Amino acid sequence: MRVNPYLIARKIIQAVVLIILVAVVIFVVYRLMPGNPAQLLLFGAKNKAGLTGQRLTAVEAQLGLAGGKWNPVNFLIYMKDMFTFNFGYDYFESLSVWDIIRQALPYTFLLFGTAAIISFALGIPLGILTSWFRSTKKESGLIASSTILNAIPFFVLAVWLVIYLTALKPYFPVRTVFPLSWLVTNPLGVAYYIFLPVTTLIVIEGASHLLTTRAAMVGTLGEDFIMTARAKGVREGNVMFHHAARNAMIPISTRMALELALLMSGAVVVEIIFSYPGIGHLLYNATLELDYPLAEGALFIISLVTIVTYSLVDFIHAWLDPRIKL
Amino acid sequence: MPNEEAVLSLVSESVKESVRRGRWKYAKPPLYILVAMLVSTFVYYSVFGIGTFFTVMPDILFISAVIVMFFGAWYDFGAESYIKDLKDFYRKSITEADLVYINKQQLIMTLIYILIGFLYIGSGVAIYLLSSFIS
Amino acid sequence: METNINERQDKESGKVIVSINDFTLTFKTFDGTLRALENVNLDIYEGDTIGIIGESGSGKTTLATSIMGMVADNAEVEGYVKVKGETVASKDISGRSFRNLKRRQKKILYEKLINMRWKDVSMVFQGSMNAFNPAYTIEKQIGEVFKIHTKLTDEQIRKKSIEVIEAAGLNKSVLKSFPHELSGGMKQRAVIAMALSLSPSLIIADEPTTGLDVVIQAKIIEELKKIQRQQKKGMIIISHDIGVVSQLSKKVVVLYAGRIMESGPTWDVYQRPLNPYTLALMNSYPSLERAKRKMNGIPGETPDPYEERKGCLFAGRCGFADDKCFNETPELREIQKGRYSRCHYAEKLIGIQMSSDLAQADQNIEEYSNENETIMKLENVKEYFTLRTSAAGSLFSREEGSRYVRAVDDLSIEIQRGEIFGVIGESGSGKTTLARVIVRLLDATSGKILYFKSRKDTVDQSEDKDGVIDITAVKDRSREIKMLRKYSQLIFQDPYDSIDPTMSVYDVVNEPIIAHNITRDPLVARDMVGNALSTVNLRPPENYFERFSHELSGGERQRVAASRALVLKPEFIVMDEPISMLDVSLRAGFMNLILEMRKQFGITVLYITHDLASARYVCDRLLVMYLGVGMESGRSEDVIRTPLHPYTKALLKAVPVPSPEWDPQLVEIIGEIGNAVDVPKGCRFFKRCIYAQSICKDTPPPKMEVGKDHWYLCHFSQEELSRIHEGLAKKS
Repeated sequence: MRVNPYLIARKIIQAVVLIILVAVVIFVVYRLMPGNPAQLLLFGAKNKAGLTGQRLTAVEAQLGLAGGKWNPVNFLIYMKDMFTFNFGYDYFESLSVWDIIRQALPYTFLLFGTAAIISFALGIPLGILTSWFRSTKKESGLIASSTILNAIPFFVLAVWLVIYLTALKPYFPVRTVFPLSWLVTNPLGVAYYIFLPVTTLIVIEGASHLLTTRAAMVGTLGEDFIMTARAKGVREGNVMFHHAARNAMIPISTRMALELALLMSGAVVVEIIFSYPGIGHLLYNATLELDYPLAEGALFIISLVTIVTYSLVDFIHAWLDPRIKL
Repeated sequence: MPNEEAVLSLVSESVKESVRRGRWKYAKPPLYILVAMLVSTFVYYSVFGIGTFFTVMPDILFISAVIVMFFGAWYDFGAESYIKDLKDFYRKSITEADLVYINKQQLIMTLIYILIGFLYIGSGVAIYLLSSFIS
Repeated sequence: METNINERQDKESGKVIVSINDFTLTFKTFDGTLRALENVNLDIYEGDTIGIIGESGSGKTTLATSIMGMVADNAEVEGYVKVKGETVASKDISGRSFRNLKRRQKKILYEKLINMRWKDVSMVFQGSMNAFNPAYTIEKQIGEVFKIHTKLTDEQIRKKSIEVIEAAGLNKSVLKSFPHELSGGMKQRAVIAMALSLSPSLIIADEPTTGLDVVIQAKIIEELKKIQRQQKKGMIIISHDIGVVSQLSKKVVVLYAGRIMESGPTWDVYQRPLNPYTLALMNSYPSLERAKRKMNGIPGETPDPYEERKGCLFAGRCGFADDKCFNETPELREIQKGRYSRCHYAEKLIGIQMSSDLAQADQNIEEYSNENETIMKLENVKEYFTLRTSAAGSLFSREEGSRYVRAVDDLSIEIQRGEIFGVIGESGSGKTTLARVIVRLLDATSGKILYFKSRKDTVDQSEDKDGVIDITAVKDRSREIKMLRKYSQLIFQDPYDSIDPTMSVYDVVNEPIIAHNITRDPLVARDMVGNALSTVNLRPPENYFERFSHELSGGERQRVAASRALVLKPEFIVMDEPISMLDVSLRAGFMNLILEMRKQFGITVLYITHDLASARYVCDRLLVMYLGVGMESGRSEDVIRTPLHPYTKALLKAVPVPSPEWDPQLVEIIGEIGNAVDVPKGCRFFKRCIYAQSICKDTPPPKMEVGKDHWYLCHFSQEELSRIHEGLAKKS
C-alpha cells in the first residue's frame, strides 16, 4: 500500500472542485433557459403580458431569483445553499426540498447498492470462471448469453418485467413503495418489493461485468508471467486468482467506475418505470413539472453521490496498481 | 574537494530558482486572463452601457474562478511528459520518491490556482460593491 | 526404426534426468494441424549442458515447455517425456487427453507435475522482461517458489531469498522492488536467481540474451558459465545465436521445423557439420574473427507448418537435395560415434571442415574500390533534444542537470559514393537519431549536412543541375525536399510495422512512383514495380503484386520494404537495423542483396546496426558511436581486426564468438550504458573506460589518426594504452 499524502490531498481537492463545478453548471443551465422561471410557473408561457406584482416577487424570491436571474448575490446565496443542502422549498407542496430528497435517498441507495453489489458479486467471479473454461461449449454459451443480455436497454427489460410479472400475472406489486422501517421489521417484504427493479439492473450489469472480467482475464492470462507462474509450480487456482485476477483487476476497476455511472442512469430509468420512490424518480417528476428547487437539488445530490463514489473507486484503483499512475 | 555542503546548497538554490520560475510560468496565464477579462469588458461596456458591466461581471468572474480552480486541480502540469523524458532519456527507473515529489509539486500548483480563483472571486465582489457605490 | 537413446561418451556417467522419447506434438487450430515437434529423441544426464539451436518456428520453445509438463490444451502428443523417471508428457496425459482423465487421475498427475516443476527442472523464459508479475515485488515472487515447494518458515524464506539474489550478483535491495523499477539486465539476473532458488537439477534457458545490449549479454553468459562451473547444474540453452550456444553447452542439438536435424558435441558439430542444414546455418553467420568470406545464407523460407510433411523438410532449400530427399523422410542415424544426423546423404559431408584460418584471405567478396567522390558530408552535426525536466520553468527540476539530450553531438563524417558505410552503436548511442537527421525526418540542431547531387539522374531528366544541397538548410515542402526524397530512402528495422497492412504489395511499391509523379502511365509503373521486386529476388514479381503483408514471411516483407526503397533508383539509402528481426538463415540473403544492389546500381548505403559481425560483412567503412559521439572510424577490416578505441575493443570482445577461446571475463568495460544527458565534461566514455586517467575526466579527447583513414578519439596512443593495460594487469 502506498501512502502518498500529496496524491491523496490532490485527489480530494479534485473531487471537491468538481462538485463545485457541478453546482455551477446546474446554476447556469437552469438560468440559461429563456424567460423568467417564476413567470413560467405562475402563468404558463402563453400569458406574458405585464407581469409584476407581489406574487411574482414572492415566487421569485422562493425560487432564488430575486433581483434578476443573474444577480451575483443570488449566485453566492445559491452556492451557500447548495453546500448546506438548503435547497429551498418544493414549489408545489412547499415542503423542504432537502426533506423530500432525504426521504428518497435511502431508497435509491438501497436499489443502487444492492444492484451494484450483487452484479459485481455475480459478474466478476463468473467472468473469471468463464476465462478458465476456454474453448469449451460452456464458455461459448456464457459469452453468447451475456452479450445478448448486456445489449438489452434497461427500460426494455424493465417494461418486459412489468408486463409479464406484474400486469399479466400479478406476481409482483405494481407500485413498489414500502416504508423504510420494513428494512428492519420485514426484510422479506422489502426483498419482494424491490425484486424486479433490482433484477433488471443486475441481469444487464452482471452480464456486462462478466464480459469485461473475462476479457481482462484472457488478456492477462496471455502474458509471460503467467507461464512463469505455472512453470514455478503454482497451482492452477492460484494462478487464476492470485496472479491473473490480481492483474486483471486493474483494468476491471477502471471499468468499474464507468459501470457505476451507467448503473446510476439505469437506476433512474428503473425507478421511473417501477414507480420506485427513489431520487431518480424524484428528479424526473420535478423536471417535468418545472419544479426548479426540487430539480436542482435532486440533480446536485445525484452528482455529489456519483463523484464521491468515483473518487472512492479511484482510490481503490490506485491501491491495486503499483505501477506508475499520476 | 570543495565543501560538499556548500556545493550542494548552491545546486539546490539554482534548482529552487528554476522551480520557482516554473511556478510563476504556470501562474501567469490565469492572471493574464483575469486582467484581460476585466479590461476588455470594462472597455466594451463603457462604450455600450456601463450598467451591465456591474451586473454581469461578478457572475462571470465567479464562474471563471471555479473554472480556474478546476483546471488547477485536474491538470498535470507537464508531469506526464516529465516522466516520459525520464524514461526515454535519463533511462532511470521511476521510484516511489519520484512520484511523491511530482504529486507534491502538483499539489502546490493546485493550491496556487485555488488562490488565484479566490482572486477572481475577490474582484467579482469588488465590482459588485463598487456597483452599489456608483448606482 | 529409430535408434533410441543418445549414448554419452563422457567419463562421468550419471543418472538420466530428462528422457524424451519419440516425442511428437501437434496443435489442432482453426487454420489446420500444426506439427510443432516430430519424433524428438533426447536424453539429458546430470550435469549435462545441452544447446538447442533453432530458428523461429523450429519448435524449441515448445520442447522446453513440454519438458516442464506444460502442454497446451489443444495439443496432441505422441511419445513421452520423463523427468526423473516420472512421465510428465505423454499421449494419455497431455493436452486434450488431460481433460478426459478421471478426477482422481488428474489430481495425482497434477500433484506430480507441481512437485517436479522448479524443483527438478526450472526455466528462464524468453523475453524475461515480462517473466515477473508486475503487481508483486521480486521478494514475493521468489518467496512464492519456496512457499510452494518447501516447508520453510517466512523468516527462513526471506533469508534464502537474499542468498539467492546475492548469488546472482544483485544487491538485496532488489528484493523490495517491483519489476518495473529494475533495468533489463537486472531483471534477467533476477529471473536467473529465481530459477536457481530451489537448486534444480536442470535449468532451461530460452533465449537468455535476446534483447539485451551486447555488454550485458556477455555478463549474463558469464553468470551462466559460473553457475555451470560452480554448481555443476545441468542446463539446456536454447538460442538462435550459435555464439551463445557454443559458449554454454558441451553438446548441441540442431532443430529445424520440429525435427532434430543433427546432434553431437558442440565444437564437433560446428566445425564438421554432418547435415546440410547445419552446414548452411554455420555458413550464415558472419564471423568476427575469421576471414571475411562470402556467405550464402539459405535460400527459400521455412516450410509452412500447416502443410503435409513428406520427405526431408529441408529439401526445398538444400543444395544437395534429390528426389529421394523429397519423398522419403530421413531417419536420425548415428553417423559417427556420438554424432547423429537426419539426412540420406550425411556420409557425404564427412571430412568437410569449416575454415577457421585467419590467414586464408578468401577473396570471394569484391573489395570496394574507393572512387574518392564524396556523396554526403556531415559537418559538426548536433541533434539535441530539449528536456522538460531541467528546462527553464519546469516544475519538476530536481538535480542540476544539463538541459539537453545530446543525441548526436558534433559529428563530422564523409561518405563516399557507392560506399556502404556502417554506424555501430548500442541502443542509446544516437544512431537511429542520426539516421533520421540525415533523411531529414528530424531537423538538426546545428551543423551542416551536405549532399552532393550527381548529374547522373536515371529517373527524371529535367533535373540535371550539378550541385551541393545543404540538407539542413532545406525548407520543408520545398522543391528540394521532394527531390531529396527521390534520391534518398529509408529502410526500417521492423518488417512487420513498416508496411501498411491494408496495401497490397503492388500498392506499397507503387506508392513512391505516385508520390513523386514519375509517370502516369500504368504500364510503365507496372514495369518499374516488377523490376524492383525482381531485384530483391521476389520472383516472379507478378505473383506478389496482389498479396498483402500478412501473407508474407518476415524475410519477404523486409524485401518488399527494400524494393519500395529501390523503385525510384535512389542514390542513397539509409537502413536502420534491417536484419535484426529476420531469421538467421535469411540474414545472409539480405546482406548479399545489399551488396548486389551496390554492385548493380552503385547505391550508397548507410547501414546502422548494433551487430558487429554483420556490419563487418556488409560495410566498407565503419563508425562506432557511443552516446552521440563518433568514437572510432575506419575501414571495416581495420576497425574489426585492429580496434583502437577502448570502447570498440570492449565491444568486439563482448560478442560471443563460437570459438573455445572466448572468455566473457575479458570484456573490459565498466558499468552499464550511461545517458546522453549528464555527459561528463571530458571524454564521453570516461565513466566506463578501464584506461581512464585524470585527464580524461575534464578534457575532450582529440582525434588520433592511425594508418589510412582510421581514427579514434582518445588522449592516448596505442602504445600508451598498452602500457596502461599492463599496469592494470600487474595490479590485479
